[in-house]
Amino acid sequence: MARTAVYIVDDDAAVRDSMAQLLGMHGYETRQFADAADYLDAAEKLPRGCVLLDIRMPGMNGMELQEELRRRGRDEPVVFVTGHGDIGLAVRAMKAGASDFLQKPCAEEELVEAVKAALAGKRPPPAAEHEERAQAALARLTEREREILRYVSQGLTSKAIAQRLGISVRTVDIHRANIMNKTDTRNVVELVRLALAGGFVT
Amino acid sequence: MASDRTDRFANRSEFPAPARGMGVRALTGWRQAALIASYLALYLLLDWAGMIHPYLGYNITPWSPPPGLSLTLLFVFGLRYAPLLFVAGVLADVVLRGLAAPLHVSLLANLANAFGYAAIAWLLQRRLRFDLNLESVRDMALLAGAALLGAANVAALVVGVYVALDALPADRFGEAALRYWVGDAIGIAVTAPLLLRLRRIVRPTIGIAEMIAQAAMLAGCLWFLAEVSLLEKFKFFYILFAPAVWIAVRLGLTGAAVVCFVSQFLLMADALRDKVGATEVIELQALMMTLAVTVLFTGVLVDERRKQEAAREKLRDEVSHLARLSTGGEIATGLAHELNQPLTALLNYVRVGKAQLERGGTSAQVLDPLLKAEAQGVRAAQTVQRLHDFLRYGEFSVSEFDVADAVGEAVALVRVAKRPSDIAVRVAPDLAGLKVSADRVQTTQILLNLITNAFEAIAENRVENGAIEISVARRHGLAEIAVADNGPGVPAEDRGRVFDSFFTTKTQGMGLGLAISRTLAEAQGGRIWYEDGGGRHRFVVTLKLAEG
Repeated sequence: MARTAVYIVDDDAAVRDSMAQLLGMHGYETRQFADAADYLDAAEKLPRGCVLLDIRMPGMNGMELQEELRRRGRDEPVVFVTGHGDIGLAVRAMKAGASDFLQKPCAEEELVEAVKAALAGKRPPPAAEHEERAQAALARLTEREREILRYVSQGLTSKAIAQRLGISVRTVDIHRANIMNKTDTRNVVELVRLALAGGFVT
Repeated sequence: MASDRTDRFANRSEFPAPARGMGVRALTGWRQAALIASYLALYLLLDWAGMIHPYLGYNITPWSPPPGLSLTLLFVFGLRYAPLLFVAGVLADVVLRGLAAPLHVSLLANLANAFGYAAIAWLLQRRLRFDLNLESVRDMALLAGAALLGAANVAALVVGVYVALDALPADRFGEAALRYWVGDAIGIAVTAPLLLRLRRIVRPTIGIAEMIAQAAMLAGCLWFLAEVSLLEKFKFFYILFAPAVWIAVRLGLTGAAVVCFVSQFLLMADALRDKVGATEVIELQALMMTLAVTVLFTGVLVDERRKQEAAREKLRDEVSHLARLSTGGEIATGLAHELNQPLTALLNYVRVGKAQLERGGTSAQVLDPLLKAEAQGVRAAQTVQRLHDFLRYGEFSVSEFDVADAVGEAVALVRVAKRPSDIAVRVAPDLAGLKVSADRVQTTQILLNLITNAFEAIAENRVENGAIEISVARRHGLAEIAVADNGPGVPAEDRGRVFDSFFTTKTQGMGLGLAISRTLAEAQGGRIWYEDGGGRHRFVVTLKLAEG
């Protein structure tokens, strides 16, 4: 059943196993791979499915695996699972054609929705209304806040942004908090999603 | 103009009733009366003890302890008690000497004396910021200056009064002033330090057996000097230096002050008994002054060094704590990831268990994910505990532990900070079972610094197949832990500087890791060095092996 195959690539056995069990409860067929190379070796013989990919892994990391898949002409949908502080990587992954990315630990519905959308060939944020809402939210930002959002979307840390703008880290953090308030986002992932939807990150 | 110095001490708990500047220690009612009464009584007692060769029956003696008491009174309780010096002096003249000098001479001489010492106390505390706790060489030098120079001035003033009032022929001025000066100088030198020190009794730092031995040796020397002839007293006076210096070195200023006080009183009592002549007493006092100055300064130096050592130890603990915090910041980033893993798994397992319950799964089907969730919770808790143990501010405490445990901990912490990494870390198997005696957290810190450096050297130089090897050897009765890597090593020109503070070759970093590591290693009696040869290079740290 091609529509229900999920391949989990994560170097952490417990994370892998628990994701597999959870997705199993939702009716997905899962296979687990401890590293990118294992998946690449097996990929040819597997039915098409969604790849749930950890970004940070020893050996070939998630990004490199995605690039390698594209290089080999494969087009299976990829959903990245990231920890904190990997926003830059996530943004790059989205630009390189990933279906979605999730932040660990992610909500059950979020995970299932992302996998479902990926298998259906959809890419969030899909609808025009999302884009409109995003545009409206972004319009509320000041020029400085937009500037900072642009850097955040590039994956820069507050410290790096502060250095570039010649302001204090604390000021950057205050701006970031204001941005989240104005756009009604709860975390950086949501913020970056919004920035992507608003065409802020190109 | 209350001095900062005394204000600072006012905040310290070991001075429950601090004297801030002058005249601040206000006493009320019977406490003040008690102070005045005990001062007068003590003054009379000391004056009586120092009644040796009074010049023409006047209070001009080559041994006069009361000025030490008077200066202490003014230092501790303030200048407002200066009139009491006058009262005590006149009282002593009346009671002890039956007014050898006419009343108006006694009054004026004692007025001059009180004025002189009040001026010295004022000069020392108000102008020269003398700290009456005698904790530095400077303060001791000020007191010695007060004894030698100050007393000389007071002597000239007081004897001048006697001469001016025709109680003393003018040509006897020099002789009388010398006697007065010597008596007051030695009196201040042996009495004031002891009285000032008695304000706070600290627990001796040495064992009772050693103190008994010291006392026995001092008593033996004093007894010997008391028994021999006058000529031999001068010849063998030096033997007193042996117990005196021993006591000063081991017990600091308090011990030195006790030695001076006891020696002086016993020697003078002996001189009185043997009816030693005035000139000889003055010569004996000169020797005593040499002894007093030597051991008092030795005592202060010992105290100062102890204090510096304690401060250095505290500083080292603080630096190592700060270093751990800064390493901790780096670890914290990795920790977020490290915690996310078990938390993600835990949440997933709980959801699986919930789903199993909802669809009426068997108890085994429900229990399985719950047990797995529990294991992940434990895993997360251990990660937090490990970091917490490491960051905790701890006093330096030596314990016996397995080197392998500290190495394992350090490797785990570096893995957290430097995740993910392809760099292989090999821990040599011969590590198992080797126990060392050291501070566990600081040992982990040293290893963490060395392993982190190895990681960064490999990563920054993009070394293929980066590998770190940690091995241990038992050599020359020490445990030698070596951290080797296959990075480029330390360039020859930098080798002399790698352990210097703020020296770094890394693109990021303060250049403190190795400097701190060396401090920590040396603090626990170990050493740390870099060695290079045979195509490999490594940092080596030695630690004491555990007993047995």
